[in-house]
Amino acid sequence: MSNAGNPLVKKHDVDWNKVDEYKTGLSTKLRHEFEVRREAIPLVFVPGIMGSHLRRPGLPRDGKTDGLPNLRWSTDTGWVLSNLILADSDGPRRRALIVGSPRQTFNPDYLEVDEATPPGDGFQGIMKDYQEFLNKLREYKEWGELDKYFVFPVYAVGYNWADDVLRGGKYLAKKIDTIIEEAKGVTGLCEKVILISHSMGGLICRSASELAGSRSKIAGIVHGVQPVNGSPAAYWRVKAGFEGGLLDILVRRALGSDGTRVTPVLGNIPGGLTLLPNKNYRTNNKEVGWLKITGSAEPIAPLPKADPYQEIYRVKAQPKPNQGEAPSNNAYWGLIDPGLLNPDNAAAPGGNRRDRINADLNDPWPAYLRALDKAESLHDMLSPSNGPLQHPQTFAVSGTGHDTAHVVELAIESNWVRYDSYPSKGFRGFFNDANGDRMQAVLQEPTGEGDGTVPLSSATAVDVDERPEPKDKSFPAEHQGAYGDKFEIVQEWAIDAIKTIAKHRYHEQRKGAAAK
Amino acid sequence: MRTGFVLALILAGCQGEKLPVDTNKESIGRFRISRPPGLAVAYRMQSIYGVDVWSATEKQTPWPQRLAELGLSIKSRPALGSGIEGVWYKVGEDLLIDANKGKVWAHRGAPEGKEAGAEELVRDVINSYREGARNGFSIGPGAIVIETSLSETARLQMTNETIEVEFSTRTVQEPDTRKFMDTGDERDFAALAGGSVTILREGERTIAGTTGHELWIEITTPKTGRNTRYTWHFPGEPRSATRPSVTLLAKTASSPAALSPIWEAILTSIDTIPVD
Repeated sequence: MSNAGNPLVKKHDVDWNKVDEYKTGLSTKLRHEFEVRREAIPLVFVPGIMGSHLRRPGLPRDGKTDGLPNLRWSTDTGWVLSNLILADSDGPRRRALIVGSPRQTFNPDYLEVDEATPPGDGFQGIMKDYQEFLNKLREYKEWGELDKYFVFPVYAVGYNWADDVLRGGKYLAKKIDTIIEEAKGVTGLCEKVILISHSMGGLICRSASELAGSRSKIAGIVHGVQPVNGSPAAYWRVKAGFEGGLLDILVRRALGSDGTRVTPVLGNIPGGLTLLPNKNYRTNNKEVGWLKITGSAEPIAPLPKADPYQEIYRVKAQPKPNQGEAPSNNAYWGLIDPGLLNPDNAAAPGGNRRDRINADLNDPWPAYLRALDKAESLHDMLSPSNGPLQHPQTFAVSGTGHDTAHVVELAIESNWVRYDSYPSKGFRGFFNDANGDRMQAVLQEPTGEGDGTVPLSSATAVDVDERPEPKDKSFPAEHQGAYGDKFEIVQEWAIDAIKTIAKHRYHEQRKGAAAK
Repeated sequence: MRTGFVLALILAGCQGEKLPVDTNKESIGRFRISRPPGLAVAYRMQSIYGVDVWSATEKQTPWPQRLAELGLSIKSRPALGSGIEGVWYKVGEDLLIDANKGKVWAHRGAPEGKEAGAEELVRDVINSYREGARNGFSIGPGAIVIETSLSETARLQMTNETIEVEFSTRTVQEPDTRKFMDTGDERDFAALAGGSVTILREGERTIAGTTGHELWIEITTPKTGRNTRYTWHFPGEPRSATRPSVTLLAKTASSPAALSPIWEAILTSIDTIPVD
């Protein structure tokens, strides 16, 4: 409250939601001027897997250490060209970039977000492609009545997507606190943020809200193409590499175009494993079993029957049968071929005494199970059997019209000549049948409704019929570029969802004021 | 096998014989290559039996300082014998050992409860070091002269202001036929970035009796300009320390004219180092 200059004028700085407190008790001998302080509701964007730039902590981002760039993951064209396209970027090198040396297993402190110092709006730490939408949000002027009460500064929070989502949620929770404090410092009033997520960022947001105690600091969450219950595409890609069109090329280059390149990364990071179908995953046809082996003389029941962790993920994949075994019993369909997890530390069987000692010491399976345990634990907490946890003010958009792996099919056929199990963008599991005939199970191309990565059944798993406008929606959008300018309809829907959340905030505050 | 290589074998003579170090040559793992003038070694690593092993340089942290750095993460200091200092420590979930004897350093990991096996490998590798040896598994100024392993890797990076060169080898269980055999991903990237890929040379080329795939490409995009990469890749023979997968890669964002003479100098210089 101030009284600068004119003694007959009294000036008041008033929070918009406390204007009612000044309706009575003011001196009528003075002229009262009110400056209504608007509330900041930061719009905080949380990207998908690989959408955050990562670096080795404490090292200059432009340098190199151990023969690798300190900036370990970036989506900038020059970085991708230099470090993935032109470099010797096989499975071991990809693993080294994200996980560490062959002697190291996943360590959450190995990488951090490549933020500016101080972080500012956080844009430096995320993929530039997102900035089309974020800049549009920043420049948006059509807030209408909301503009009288609120301002919407735009932030981005990158995170270590290799790490488990539980820790990612805690990290986001701390960032929310920092952003609220910063916005409060500018506007004088800020209590809550609105989160906008892309893909895996949705799991991070729900983790922050429902597991890390940030729900009361979040006005609402707008989810885009979230793999709520995971996606069989994660299984498909571990086995066969990253398929997909040009929009996915950066992701494909980063994780690789065949199983030998993808497994060393995705199989070692809890964040990647969190994208696998969880126990609540259902196909678009509402079936539990999503891994189907077809073409067998005797029908084979789809997997899982109940628990994909026990029935698929903890089964060691053996893509070729043991010599002379007929029928062979090798689980070619298991998720992870242990020999691919840490190729530079993989010891060949046999050899001399020292080779055998080395092989005994180098089993990568326990580290994989540790990472998988974290993914399972997060899934169980975030998506209990009675449905996924979510913030009460949630909106979700899903993508359709793109072939998506809602099931994974391995088709059995005769095999006359043994091939590589891991051709580019493919997988073949070999086995011998009861007659001793050589057979192969060939991974089929994804089909099913979805955005190309997340099937409709998973992206809509948080949908609720009773939501206000603009409601949860499906649009013919593609996964990676869902918020891009190509899909303006998604951008417009997201802005409408933000407005609805802000209106709810308005009513929530007005109701509180009326009660006083 | 080239005449020069035969001569080198004759000159090398018996195991462990010391010869003057050729400053224009770099020895790495089971190979020796030229280092053209102006290129400096930026990074090198060697691993045998899962033990990373290297020779100390002036940049190497002295042992007491290394112990101080590890501080509270130290779990134990095993008695490795033969004048070898060693320390077990934890980083995250990983149990790791560092060891040092004179100029030789070693590093590896082990699951808890299996430290003895790791200590044996570390001890054997360090004790097999021969300063100045021109045979065995080279780590630069000397070599690990020990029975060959099914698990050997080596990598050497050399750079100047505009060119990066990497020479790498790895023992394989199956030939590595994936690397640098086609340009599918490069073309995808160029298309996305509004650019193009030009193949400057592609074909089989035999070096020191080994036939590898040579591929020269140029990628041009509006954002990154012209970049050139030359590769030569031999897929390797299964379970062979003397016929591992070998890759030579050179790249530049500057004129490729400077790349070609360096490429030829290095590629044609590749020689194997005798095991015994």
